[in-house]
Amino acid sequence: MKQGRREKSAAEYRKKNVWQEKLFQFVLYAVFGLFTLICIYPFYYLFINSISANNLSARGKIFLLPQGIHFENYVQIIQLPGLLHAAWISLFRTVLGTLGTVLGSAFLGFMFTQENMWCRKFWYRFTIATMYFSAGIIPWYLTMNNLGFTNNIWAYVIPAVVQPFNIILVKTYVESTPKELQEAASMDGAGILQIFRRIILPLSKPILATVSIFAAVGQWNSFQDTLILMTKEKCYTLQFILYTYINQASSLAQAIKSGQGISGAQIADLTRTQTTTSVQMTVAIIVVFPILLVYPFFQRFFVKGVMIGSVKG
Amino acid sequence: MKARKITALLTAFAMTLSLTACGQKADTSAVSQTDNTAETGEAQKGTDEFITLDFFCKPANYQGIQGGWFGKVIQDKFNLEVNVLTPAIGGDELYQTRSASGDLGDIISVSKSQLQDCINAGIILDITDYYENSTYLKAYDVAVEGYKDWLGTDRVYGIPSRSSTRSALDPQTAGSQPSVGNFMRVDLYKVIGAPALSDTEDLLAALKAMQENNPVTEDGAKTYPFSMFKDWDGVYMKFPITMIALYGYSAGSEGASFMLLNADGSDTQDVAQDDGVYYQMLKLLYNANQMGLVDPDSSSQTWDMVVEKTKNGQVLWSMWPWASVDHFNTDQRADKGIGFQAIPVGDQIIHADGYNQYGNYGNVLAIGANCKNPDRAFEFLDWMASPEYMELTNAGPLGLTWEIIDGKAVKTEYGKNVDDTTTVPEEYGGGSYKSGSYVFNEGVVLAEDIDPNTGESYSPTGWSSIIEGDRKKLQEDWTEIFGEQTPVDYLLKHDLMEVAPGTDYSFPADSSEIATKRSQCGEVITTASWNMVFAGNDDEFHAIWEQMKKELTGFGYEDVLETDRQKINDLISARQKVLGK
Repeated sequence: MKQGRREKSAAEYRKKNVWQEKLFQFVLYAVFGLFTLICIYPFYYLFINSISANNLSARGKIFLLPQGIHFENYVQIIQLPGLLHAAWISLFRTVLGTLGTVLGSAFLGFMFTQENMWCRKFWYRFTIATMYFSAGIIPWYLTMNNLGFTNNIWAYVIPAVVQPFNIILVKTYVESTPKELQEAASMDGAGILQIFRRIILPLSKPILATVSIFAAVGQWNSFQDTLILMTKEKCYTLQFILYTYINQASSLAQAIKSGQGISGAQIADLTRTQTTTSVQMTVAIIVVFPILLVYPFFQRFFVKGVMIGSVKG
Repeated sequence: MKARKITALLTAFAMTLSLTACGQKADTSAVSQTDNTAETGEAQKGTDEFITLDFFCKPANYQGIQGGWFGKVIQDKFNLEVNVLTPAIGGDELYQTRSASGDLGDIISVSKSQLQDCINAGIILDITDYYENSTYLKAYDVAVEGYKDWLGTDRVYGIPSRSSTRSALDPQTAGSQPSVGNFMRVDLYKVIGAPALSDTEDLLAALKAMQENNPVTEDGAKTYPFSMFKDWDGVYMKFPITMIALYGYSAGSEGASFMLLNADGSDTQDVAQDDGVYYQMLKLLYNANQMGLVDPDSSSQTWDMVVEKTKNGQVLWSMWPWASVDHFNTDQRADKGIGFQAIPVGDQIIHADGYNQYGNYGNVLAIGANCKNPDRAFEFLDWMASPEYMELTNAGPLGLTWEIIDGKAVKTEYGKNVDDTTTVPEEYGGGSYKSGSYVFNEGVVLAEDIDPNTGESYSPTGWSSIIEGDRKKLQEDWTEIFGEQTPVDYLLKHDLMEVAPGTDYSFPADSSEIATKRSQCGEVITTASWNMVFAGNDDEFHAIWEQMKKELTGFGYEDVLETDRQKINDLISARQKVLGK
């Protein structure tokens, strides 16, 4: 009898438990579902606005479903002069710039952990100081100009090699790896470069993946340097062309606002097919999409525990 | 694995190599262009080589090489191309960095005070000798002399842009419409019986009746006469500060002064004056809101949204022709008598700027001291003052988009039908017409000036063929009500327009202290203005105004006013000088 009651209560308990479990799961799914929605909706919003009728999107009428679907906004952007070349420049700066940043940060970060490096403390502080003190845009421009970095696409790549923030990241990471690994390699006759190449680089994959993402996103999105340094169209990047395109739409309104003698007909012409909103939405999609692809690509490097068991005793 | 690595490396290398062409030396494209254009260039300009002139142009709204049909005209004529750099795209940093480096551009268009800084820094070429031998620029000697006086020098450094040779007492208008006015829907105005409007009360009552008559658009959107936006606010609320022009006042230079003055300078008042014109405008908007005439979206929407609402017929009133007429009055609507026109109101004396012989819009053209080809840059600058340049930039290529019939300018069929998809015949350079148009938005001469070849304005809005050709049912209906051909005719005939003569005075930049105070006070004024328009009742309206005045005192409003009074007095004496002449 007693036994039976106990079994019954255990079953009830399990049943209750299952019910609770289900509720818990439901809440969990609901919360994360909502969270996912919050993350995805802005992209969705951009997309549906970029393909909806431009007069509706400009009036803020598009929320859930696209209306009056058309792809003219994308066609207009594809027809921008020099777009393909600019895309190549952007690809160039993203690939080489990221490579430069990653290698530079890895090597400098590693070197700053080597106690026998010449004037290590000075160089480290010298590098880090640039994070806190900036001379401002004019001295920066003058320096770049004197170094021949105006209208020169290497201005996108070479200055990106030394990036203090990324160097700190790598340095801290290298410091957290067991010193014994470097010592062991050194005892086997490895030189400093060999230690860097054979031991540190493979060990630092997770942090280098992080640095790569920072660098790639930064390079892809950057247009400020083009704005100031480049005046020749052949050095323009994709972001710059798109930025110009957006600004063109809004600068006419700016001009008429400040009474620069722009005729109303010009404004009417400009806004007949495109609106500032449609231009902004479409450009945002084009800009965001490629860089979204970078994240999954680097995901596989974010692995933990590569060093487990590397040092024993 | 190894093979893959090698391939990857090779690809990267090849990519790098393909792009090194963008490095310092690589001017291959220019070289090839030189080859292509060698024949025409040599034919035109003897041994001149093909060059690129950098044009730092404040009013431009495009950055890059001027291409298309207009680019071809320049290339055929001068064997050069123009690379436009503009702070409208590049931001103020572009001006700051380039001027700091000493090389702003070969040709430069910046504000008068910016050019003064550049001259002091020694980065502007003294063009006195060039100017003496110029072909077209000499016609604008008044402007050049005026700028010399302003700088306090006897050398020529800059040519004020958009100068006019028309009388300083002729009002600047947007063709047949005033630049600022009481723009209402004529069709709705007719429906309510076209009542004569003698004052603000009549105006609001008429707008109310129009709204009741047409509460929603075809697609069911609600209509409002006043649809405002916040994104153009500066140191005051945009709507009331522009609306003061309907009652004969202006701030001299919007954003640069808290003092307001009427056209002849007989009355001056500050923005925060009790019962002043700015206050009256707030009151007008407040009353309109109480009557349900103000779009509730006003405080959250942008100019772009208002444009779309206007196109959709949701906006029933505007003070600007380019915000109403240009967006709403399509040919189809005008044929049915539907559209905006300026409707006169008895107590409104519209403030209009007169033509300015000293340059309109405040910019100056100059040549950079580091320009490698000053002869050719000046030759180009001189051409920017020619009738040919003005015709091309306003109407397009003669023979293609327009022609001269019986001495008058007339658009060709091609010119009438230009739209986004129109292409240009090969002999004119090919490509799209729109993207080949000029991108500078700059010239020595004002577009409303008279073309010696046609006796009418360069700008097609002033051509008799256009004004007559544009007359549709809408314009006929308007004429039927008011008995004049155009709104401008009516306003001038009935003395409802006051002209502020154009002068050589331009507002000096604020010191950093005054600029800070101005922007702080501006924020207080703007916020209070919006709150007043949307105030719940009269008491609240007054309370906010009083509170605003109190806060202004704390932010140094008096100090700002002191400098503004000085500016306004200088402006008044400059106007009197012109009138005296």
